[in-house]
Amino acid sequence: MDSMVKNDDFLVHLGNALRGSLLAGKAYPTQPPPSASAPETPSDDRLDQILFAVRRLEGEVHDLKLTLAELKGERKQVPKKPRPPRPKEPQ
Amino acid sequence: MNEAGPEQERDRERELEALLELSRRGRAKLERLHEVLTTPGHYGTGATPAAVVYRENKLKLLRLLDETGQPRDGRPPVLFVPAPVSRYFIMDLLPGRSFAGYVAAAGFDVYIADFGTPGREDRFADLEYYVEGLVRRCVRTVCALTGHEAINVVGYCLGGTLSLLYSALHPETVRRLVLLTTSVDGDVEGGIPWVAHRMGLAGEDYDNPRLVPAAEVKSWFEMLAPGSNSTLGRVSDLWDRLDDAPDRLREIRTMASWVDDVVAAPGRLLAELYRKLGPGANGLMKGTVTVGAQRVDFAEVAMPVLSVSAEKDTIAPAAGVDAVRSIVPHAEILRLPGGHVGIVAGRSAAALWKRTVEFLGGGVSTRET
Repeated sequence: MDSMVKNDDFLVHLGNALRGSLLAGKAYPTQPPPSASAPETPSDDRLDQILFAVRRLEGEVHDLKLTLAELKGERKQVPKKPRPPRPKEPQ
Repeated sequence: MNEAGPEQERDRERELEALLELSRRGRAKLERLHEVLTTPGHYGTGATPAAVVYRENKLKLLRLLDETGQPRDGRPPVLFVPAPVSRYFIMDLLPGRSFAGYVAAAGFDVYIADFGTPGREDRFADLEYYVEGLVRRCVRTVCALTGHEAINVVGYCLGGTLSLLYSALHPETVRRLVLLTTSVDGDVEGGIPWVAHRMGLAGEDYDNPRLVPAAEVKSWFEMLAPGSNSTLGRVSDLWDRLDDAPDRLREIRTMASWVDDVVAAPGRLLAELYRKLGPGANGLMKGTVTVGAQRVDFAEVAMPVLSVSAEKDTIAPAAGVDAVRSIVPHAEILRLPGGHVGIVAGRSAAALWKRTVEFLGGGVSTRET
C-alpha cells in the first residue's frame, strides 16, 4: 500500500480510474488552471511563425528530393540509342 | 430488553450475509482494477511491427512489417490516413484487433500516417499544409519506395476528408479510395462540427490561431453524449465493467487509451474547416471548397470509392457521411451497424475489414446500404 501511494504512475492510473477512464500512460486531459498559462507575447508568436515556416520548408525540400529521384529514374529508363557503327578506318 | 425471535435472527443473518457478499464482490472488483492498472498494457503505439520510412515535422510515415521484419511488397500499397486530432493507433489497435494488420495480412504493403502531437508552432497549420503538404508527400514517398504510380488510400474521419480532397486534386496517384465515417454534408445536424459550433468554434481565429488544447477537443467529444460521458456516468460504467475478466478489461483499457487520448489541434485548420465545410458553408456539398488557391473539383474523383458510415455514429452522423453519393455518384455506400469507433476497431469490425480488403483487391461491390 505504501509503495503504491509513492508510485506516480499508479497514482496517475488511479486518478484516471476515478474519472471513470482506463486511459493508460498519461493523465486524463484537463484544462490547465488559468494561472498556469502565461500570456503570449508578440515575440513568441513571431518565433512560432518562423519555426512553422521552417517546418514547411523542410517538407518542400523533401518534395524536391523526390522530384530529383524521379528525374534520375526516368533518365535511367530512357533506352540508350544504339551507337552508330564506327566508320571503318582506311587500311 | 426485547430478545429477538428466531425469525428476526434469521433475517439479521440474511442481511449480514448479503452485506458480506456485497463487500466480497466490491473487493474482487477493486482487486481486478488493481491488477489491470498495474499490468503493463499495450497502448500508445500500433500493434504491428513497423518501420518509420519518412518523417516531417511531427509526422511519421510507418510501413508495416511482416513476421520476419520485412516489408510486404506483393499487392499494391495502401496508405491509412487517420484523423489528425486523434492518435493513429486506432488503425492498428491490438494483435488480432488491427484493421491495418488485417489488410497487411491479406498481402498489401500497408503504410500509416502518424500525424503525431502538434506543438505550439503548428497552430499555423492549415488545410493546404495537411492536404498538399503532409498527405501528398506521404503518397509521393510510398510511390517512390514501391515504384507504383498510384496507391490505395484509406481515410478515417477527418483523415477521410483530407484523403477525399487530395484524391480530387491528384486523382492520377490514387488507385482506390476508402472513406471511413467521413462526413461531407456540413448541414446535417449533429456530430463534431455542430458541437464545436455550439461550443464556440466559430470564434476560432484563422489569422491569429491558437493551439486548441486537448482537453477542449476532448470536451467536444464528451458533449456528443452528455451524461454518459459525465464523470459520474463514467465511474458508474467502469464499476460495472469491473465484473469483466482482466483480459477483457485490458482490451477496454486499450480502447479507452485511444478514446481518451485526443491531441491538441491547430486552430487555423479548425477555423478553415469550419469556415469552408461547416454548418452553412458546406463547401464539400456545394463544390466551393478550395485548398490553398486551388478549387477542388470532385468530378476528378474517377477512381473506385467506398464510403462507409456507422448507424450509431454520433461523431459523424451516417446521413452526412452517405451524402458523398451527391458529389461522387459512383461511390459505393456501405452503412454498418455500430458506432464511429466500433466499426473500425470494435469486436464486430471484421465486417468492415473484410469488405475493405475485397474492395482494395478489386472485388465486386455488395452495394449494402
